[in-house]
Amino acid sequence: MERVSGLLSWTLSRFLWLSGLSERGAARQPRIMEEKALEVYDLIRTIRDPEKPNTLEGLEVVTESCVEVQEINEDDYLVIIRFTPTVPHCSLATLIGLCLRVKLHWCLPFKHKLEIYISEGTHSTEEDINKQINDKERVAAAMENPNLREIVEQCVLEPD
Amino acid sequence: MAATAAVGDEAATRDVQRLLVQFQDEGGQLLGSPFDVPVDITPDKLQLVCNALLAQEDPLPLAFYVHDAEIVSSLGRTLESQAVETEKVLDIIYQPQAIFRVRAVTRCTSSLEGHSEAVISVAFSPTGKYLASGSGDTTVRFWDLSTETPHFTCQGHRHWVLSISWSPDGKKLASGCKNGQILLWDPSTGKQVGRALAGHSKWITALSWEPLHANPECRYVASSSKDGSVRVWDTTAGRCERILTGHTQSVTCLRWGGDGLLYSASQDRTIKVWRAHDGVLCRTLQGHGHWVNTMALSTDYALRTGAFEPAEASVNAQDLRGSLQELKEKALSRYNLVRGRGPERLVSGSDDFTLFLWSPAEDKKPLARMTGHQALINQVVFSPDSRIIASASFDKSIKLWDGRTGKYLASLRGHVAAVYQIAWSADSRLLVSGSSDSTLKVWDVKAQKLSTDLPGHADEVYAVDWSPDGQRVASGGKDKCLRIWRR
Repeated sequence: MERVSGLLSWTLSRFLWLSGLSERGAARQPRIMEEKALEVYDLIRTIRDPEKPNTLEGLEVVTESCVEVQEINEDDYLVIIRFTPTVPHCSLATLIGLCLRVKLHWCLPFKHKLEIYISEGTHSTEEDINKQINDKERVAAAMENPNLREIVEQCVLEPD
Repeated sequence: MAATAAVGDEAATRDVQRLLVQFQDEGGQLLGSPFDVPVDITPDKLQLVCNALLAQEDPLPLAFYVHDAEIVSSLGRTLESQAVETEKVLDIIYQPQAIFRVRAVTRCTSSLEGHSEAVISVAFSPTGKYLASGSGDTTVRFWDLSTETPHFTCQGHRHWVLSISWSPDGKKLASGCKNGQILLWDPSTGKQVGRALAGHSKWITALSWEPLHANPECRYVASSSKDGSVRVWDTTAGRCERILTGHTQSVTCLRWGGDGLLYSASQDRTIKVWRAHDGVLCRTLQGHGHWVNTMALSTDYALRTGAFEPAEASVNAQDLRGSLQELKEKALSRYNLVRGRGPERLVSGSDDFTLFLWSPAEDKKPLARMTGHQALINQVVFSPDSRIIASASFDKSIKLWDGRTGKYLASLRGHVAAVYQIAWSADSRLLVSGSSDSTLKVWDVKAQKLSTDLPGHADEVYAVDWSPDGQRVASGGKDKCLRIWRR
């Protein structure tokens, strides 16, 4: 009888300890994602707008809350960015999307999969633009165009 | 002097502000006396004046720097951002550039198959005549560069070939394998030379030959291993001359300096400086917080090419000709030219994301700590004229630093995965990098921009090398193919 109760209390304490662990584990995950999201934001906020002399952060095209990072596998992350163009008919929204993609591709140290969207309701042709900036082939074709590449490099590279 | 008179006349008619300048070479020695120039003088005119003052037979191409900024368009433009006192004499530092110009490689001329496992290392001989590659399939292969076909396959190792190194006269190739064995090969016949050098208990991490100007017969080679020791071998006798122990963990990189000092970097976070002729430990350089992966000496390129002068290269690469004494003198003069007046400088890159610049012959304290990389540094290389240091890192970028002070110059971004190896062109104007993203990229160092993108490999590129005569770049990697790139 004592042995059974002893076993029961042991199993109960074990169960409580494990559930405590998983809670801590679950609490740990969102923190890592926040750190990674801040890392990503740190890189994209210094990108310059192609038309105006301000950065994307200054024009509030990107904000800290618009970056979301999810863990797919160990060391492999999904990064989702939703940016807001300055005007609903902004013609350079695709260029901004391209700059975001290139900057993270070149500068983000951890392995990541990137999805870029325009914040809902902030652009007249947002569906088409979303399709364009997430299409790998169109992005690669754009970067092979030397003029576009010059413009992107100017926006993306920080004067050291 | 006609040049200054012409410049003076032009400016006088336009009433431009004039400044007093004094030419100074990189070592601080003054050239001529101060004279005044108009503030909108261009680098071409400065070059005319400076060449006239230097009074050399052929005019040298020169680059001019004032207050660490290069004069690109005109003196006035460069000084715009700085407050200039017109009373004081302005020092303009002139740097002779390489007379010859290496053209960027743009196309892949051949894809050489033959290896049955990943190609781990690729190296051109000091004159650029032979190309050798070591691979995980335990063979070392020599490739004929004029026809771009396989030349010799050298079997002999029984495990992966981890490191290869050419002797400075280009007559022998040393290769080290995962079993700790070192074999020597003759590139003209493809046969093994001498006896197998065995002695290390674990795998070979690096090989380094004694410089040509110290011994024109190229007799001694040093090897470092995971077992923590460095061994100096006599290749003619086929035996181990000296064993240098002291490191507590694997020795990752080795360099035989031109002053008779041997430098070894290790996973125990230190770099040890040994006297090569008697094996005495001179100094231990401490400072890194994690494994030291790579090292480079400011005179590396001169030690690698020995008596071969890239400016005298011909389209058909030749073996070095001349008596041993002539070769020794030529190598010594080339070495002294690159070294300059101070001692050799050493730069080390580590897993702690930083680099250190040392003057190991003088001081055990570092000259500078170079931070900025966001991941471990895989390779660091001095430019052939020792003015710039390039570091390749797993954070997808290559950073350029000043070779004398360690000051940060620029970041070269473009790769989308870790950069494994880099190689300079012989005139120090171009840099080629091979990366995990299977592309090679050629960078223009002056403009600090991408010059050419070279896709083509099917998998990660592990090794790149630029031939000393500037004509070809060779690269090999995980896809078991060796690719040769030319203009």
